[in-house]
Amino acid sequence: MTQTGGDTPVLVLHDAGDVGGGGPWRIALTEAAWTGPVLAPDLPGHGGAPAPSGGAYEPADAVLHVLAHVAPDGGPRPVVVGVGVHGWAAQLLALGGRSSGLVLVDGLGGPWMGPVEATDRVRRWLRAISDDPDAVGPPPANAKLTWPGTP
Amino acid sequence: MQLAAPDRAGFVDLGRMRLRVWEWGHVADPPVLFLHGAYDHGRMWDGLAPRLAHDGFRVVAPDLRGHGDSGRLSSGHTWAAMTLDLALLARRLGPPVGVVGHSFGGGQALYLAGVWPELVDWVVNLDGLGPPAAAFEERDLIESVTAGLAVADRVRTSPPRVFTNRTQMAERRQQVNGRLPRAWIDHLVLHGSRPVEGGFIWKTDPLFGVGFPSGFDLTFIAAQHDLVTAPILVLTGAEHDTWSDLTPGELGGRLAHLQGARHQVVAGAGHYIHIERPDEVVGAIEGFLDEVGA
Repeated sequence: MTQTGGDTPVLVLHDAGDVGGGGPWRIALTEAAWTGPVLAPDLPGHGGAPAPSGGAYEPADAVLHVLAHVAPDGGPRPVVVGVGVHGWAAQLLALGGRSSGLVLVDGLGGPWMGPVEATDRVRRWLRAISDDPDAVGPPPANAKLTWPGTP
Repeated sequence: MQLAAPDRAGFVDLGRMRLRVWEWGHVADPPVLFLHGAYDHGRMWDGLAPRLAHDGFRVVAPDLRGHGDSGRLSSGHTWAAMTLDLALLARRLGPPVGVVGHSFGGGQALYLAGVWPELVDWVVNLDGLGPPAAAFEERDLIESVTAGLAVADRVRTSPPRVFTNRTQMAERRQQVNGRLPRAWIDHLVLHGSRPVEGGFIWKTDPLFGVGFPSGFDLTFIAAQHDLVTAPILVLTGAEHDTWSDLTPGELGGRLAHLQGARHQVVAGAGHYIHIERPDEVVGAIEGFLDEVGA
């Protein structure tokens, strides 16, 4: 692969549940000779990042965890890559003028659902969480999705 | 204004969240959750709670997550996590529980009853049937996202506003809730603020004000309300007020999705019905509880 990127940073929002968080993306983009800064932070509960305090997290929150990289006066705007459920957070950054390019990797969201179906799905999901001791108990120490060899 | 400090004050550890909890009444009496509204806290019940405790209930009023002395927020989208907190709290109290909720807390009460019907015996909703239709009118998406990011930037980079004294905070609050008596404003400010170097800050987590556009709209509120099977008493004030924004037509539309809800309009009250007209509210709740056999 030829060198690409110039000085433009690339910012990857890895998918929820990605083992190793942003680690594999950091390796892949660096080895692919992206010439600008490679930013692929571990989002909460992944890689080296602790679980979200309070246990609450939803995909749009990824925006809050990368704001420092996309500050309005913070230098060149990155190309933002949104993976899986974090495609929506990447789109929010693009809509808000915080990125110079948008790449979605399987990031177009799930099938369309009407309000009754969506409400019922959330209802069942919340009930399942409330019945799952692992989900509502205190997070075990060092509970992170990690991948051996992740820098 | 007759207020009674809680009989007990403590914290409940829910595993991932620690809630401040205020209590009135005997521990062995049937439990009732009292849920405050957005930017408020459990001590807003110092007037109504002792009266329900006197009627034979154990009143349990948490500070919702991100509010008062409870744990801080990790997310800009807290609705479902707050309701999950309340379900876990209700389970510890020996369900089913009654729930009294004001404004945003009234919405939480209905959602709790909708998702976990086995936990909720009855609901009293004080002017908490959701925002007006105008709040969901489609704004330009780029404009909405840009505004949301600006708020998030401010929360990330700026410390909370420090007020020199609580009088300043009371004046600010009085501007927003003009109908509230000054003594009540002072009470809400006293328990809703904490000292820091140079003055005082609001206890509410600034992250609570951060949000991005989503597909949530009136059809979702209707779908959530359709889930509720518990008996419901809805009280609204007759007077125009901040955060009492539903037109009579909208109110009727919301009530149509709450099967079996009784609705009473309280004369001489705005949004804070229980603060402005406590006797009428206590009377309405007692009548409702007699009717549903609670």
